[in-house]
Amino acid sequence: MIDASLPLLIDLVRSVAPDPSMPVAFVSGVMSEGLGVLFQPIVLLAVVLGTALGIVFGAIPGFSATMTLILLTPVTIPLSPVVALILLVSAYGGAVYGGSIPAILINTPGAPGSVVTCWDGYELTRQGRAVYALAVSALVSGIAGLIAASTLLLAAPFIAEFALSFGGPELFLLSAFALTIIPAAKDASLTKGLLAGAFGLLIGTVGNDPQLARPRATFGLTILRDGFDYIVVLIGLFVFTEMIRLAMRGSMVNTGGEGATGAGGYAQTIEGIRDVLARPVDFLRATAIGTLVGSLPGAGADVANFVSYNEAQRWASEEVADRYGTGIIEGVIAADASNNATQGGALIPTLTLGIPGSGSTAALLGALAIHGIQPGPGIFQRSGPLVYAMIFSLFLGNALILVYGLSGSRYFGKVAYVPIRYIIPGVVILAVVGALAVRNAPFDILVMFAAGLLGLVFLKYDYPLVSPVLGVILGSIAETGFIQGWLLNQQDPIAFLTNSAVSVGLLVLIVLSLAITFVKNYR
Amino acid sequence: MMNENDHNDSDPTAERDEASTRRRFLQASTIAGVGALAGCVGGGGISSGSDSSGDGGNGGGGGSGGSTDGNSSSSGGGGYPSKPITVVVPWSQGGGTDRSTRALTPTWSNVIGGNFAVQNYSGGSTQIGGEQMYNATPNGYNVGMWNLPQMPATWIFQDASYRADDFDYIGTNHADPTLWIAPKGRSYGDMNEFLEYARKNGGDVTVGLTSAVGNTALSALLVKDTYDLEFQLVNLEGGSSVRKAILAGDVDAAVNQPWAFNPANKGKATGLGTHTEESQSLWPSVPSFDELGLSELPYPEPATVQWKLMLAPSGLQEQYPDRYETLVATYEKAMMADPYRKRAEDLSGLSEIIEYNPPEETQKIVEENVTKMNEYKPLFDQYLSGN
Repeated sequence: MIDASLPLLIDLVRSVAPDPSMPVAFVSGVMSEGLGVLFQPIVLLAVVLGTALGIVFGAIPGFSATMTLILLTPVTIPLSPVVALILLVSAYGGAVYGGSIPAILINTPGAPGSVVTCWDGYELTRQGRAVYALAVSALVSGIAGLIAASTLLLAAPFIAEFALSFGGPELFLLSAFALTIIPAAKDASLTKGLLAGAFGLLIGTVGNDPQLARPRATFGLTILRDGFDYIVVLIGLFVFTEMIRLAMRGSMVNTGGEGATGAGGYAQTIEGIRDVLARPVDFLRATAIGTLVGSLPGAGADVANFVSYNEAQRWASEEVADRYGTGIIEGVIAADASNNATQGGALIPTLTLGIPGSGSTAALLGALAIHGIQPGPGIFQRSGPLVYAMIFSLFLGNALILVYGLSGSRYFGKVAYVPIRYIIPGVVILAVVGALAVRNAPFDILVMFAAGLLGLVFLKYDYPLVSPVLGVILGSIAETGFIQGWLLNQQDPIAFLTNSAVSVGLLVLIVLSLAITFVKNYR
Repeated sequence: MMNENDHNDSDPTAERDEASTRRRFLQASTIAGVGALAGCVGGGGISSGSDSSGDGGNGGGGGSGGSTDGNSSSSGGGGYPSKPITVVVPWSQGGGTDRSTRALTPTWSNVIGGNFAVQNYSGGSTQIGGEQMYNATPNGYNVGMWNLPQMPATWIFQDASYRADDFDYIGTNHADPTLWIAPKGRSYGDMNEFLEYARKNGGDVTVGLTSAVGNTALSALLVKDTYDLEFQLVNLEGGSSVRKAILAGDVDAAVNQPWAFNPANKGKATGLGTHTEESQSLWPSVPSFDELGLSELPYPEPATVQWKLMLAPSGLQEQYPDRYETLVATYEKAMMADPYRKRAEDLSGLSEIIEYNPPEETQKIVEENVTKMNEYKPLFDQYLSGN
């Protein structure tokens, strides 16, 4: 496995013999050729445009990074492979970041990777500190992306090895671990959280079973053989429900807000930068979780942001832990550093092994095929300059997220003050388009509305909305992982749970997590 | 519910038209904006150097590209095609069927003088995409790339409402034979040795599949049944999970196809053999089962080869014979064209297994698959019932 991206290391070793007078000579051979490819005006334009397009698409409810890539792929056909793929990779990064903007401003995540951004990000907006939250989001997204890109460049072989060690049992246990966030969901009773989570898991079982493809609860509808799409459920529960709730409440910002906005401008941006710099541990933990979870086949930003938030809360001191969900900066860091770090992580197994690390990178494989690029072992020999240009473009793209995000935060922040009579119809229309676009199925519009109405019932009776979404997202990963791992381990529970060191480690984390929850609840 | 749809009804129902109009509207509204924006990159991008894939096919597409839906009047008058042709792929973007489709459409686009829009309808073991192709209007603007034996499996083992004669065939694309692979460093080096190993270790042996019904499951069930073995079949759902399981050593063996597995991984796995009488060219060091002397085993070709084929909803040939002929002729021409062959070669040697057959032969291959899958239905039924 190690030699999958050996050229990366060889180039790195070669680059240790520097010529200080010429910075370009630090990198040699294929790498510098890659840099040369990247620094053509047309390719740079692709990065600038791609990132901006990604941010706009990502901010639309339902238009996840995966959807953005699928929609943009046909448009790139006439472009040269370099321009096309760099445009797509840039849009991918932009879209992951973009999903957090509406999460912070109007409590509607643009994509599943930004669900937990809402919890503290939107609370900050309600306190009149939207610009502050947006600045933090942009900063941690951009820098986490840069770190993940460096990991891709320097440590790809090791991360690929790690990703391979995740088989069925490990993915099942990771999902179970992510589910332990349910009790941590803000303002929720444990019983109601667990009930709602179980309901989500049940919804996740609709469709063909993952082993013998027998239909379950499909009621003769072909579309349901593929189950309920979690993005559609997410749009209904979070976006549609939130718009109705907004209509009932009448305005977005809690206090009159004038004083708070007065403090806006760049003052909040600068405060945001300072506060992130003061919390390096929170930031680095979230980035590491995002990179590693991103590299796992089947788990992307949607899983990473839950795991990261859960860990952030667990590691926090007691008084800080209690304030998660009330609008604290640590919550936004945990969510947004982790989701943007998944891109660099997900590209690792995709490029070196040809095994996509997430839904978005699977979509990217389709685009690579159009342009005659075959990922997998030997990709650096076959298409070295292009691949290096793509990796280097991640650095540029994430730097642009910093630029767009930090300079734009004070303008985006004004959205929180747009009258709701414009916000609500606009967002509902986008939600319908988003729900339909996920798999071109008109049926999904009905599912979206049904989930939205269900969300209102949940709110009325104080059930946390995030639990069913977690159930739907994690349910299918957990079930597929369980059944495959179960069969691969001779249907023996002990062999299943102890099949690898990673499994044992995850098991310990799950037990610890549950124990802490029970101790806290019974004190 | 879907059985209510009677395809023998020659009137394309209003419902169908409405559905496809809705879809096109959505496509237009979502892509048009992006197309306009990306158009400006496209202008310069085509001529940009440093094209490491050496793809000559894309360049010619420049005039018709930029947006997949913006040039509906380009050919004017009654010229066909006057708008983009939708290609349904019943798998998600990035899978083998999707990649082989997307490798072809740029060249086909140049040959036919129009655009193709690839749309993925994944899920339900290709039945969701299948219903989409079946319900599409047969007007020459709807085609689909499907694979065998998945296609008949959707009605033999599931409840799909269409049959083989509900489609007009355009041609085959490629044939990827069923291949048994093992992780590197195991004690067995070919299928004979693996059978010996499986006999000794009984139910502890695991064999990974790409789907519950299809060529990989058929091959595994035949081997299991013929040699009375106990090994555990594990459906890993898809080629990339099989690749992962082999590279990580999670399974004792897996069934896939050489191109799908990606010949770049050759050095990291052991090819045990192909379930065919003749050996294949993509992974030449791997013998066929027949060459290994496995003579007790049935060889129900073509069902142990994964064929991919291009088709259209039935009624096209009858209602628009000229459009059907255009599709058939341009498909063949694109399949033979150098830019496509070059791109296919770059796609881990897809060019090695490209196999074009004209419409009548294609239909025959489909029908033979139907016969073979029906013949082994009891074997599948036993597996699918969990016994």
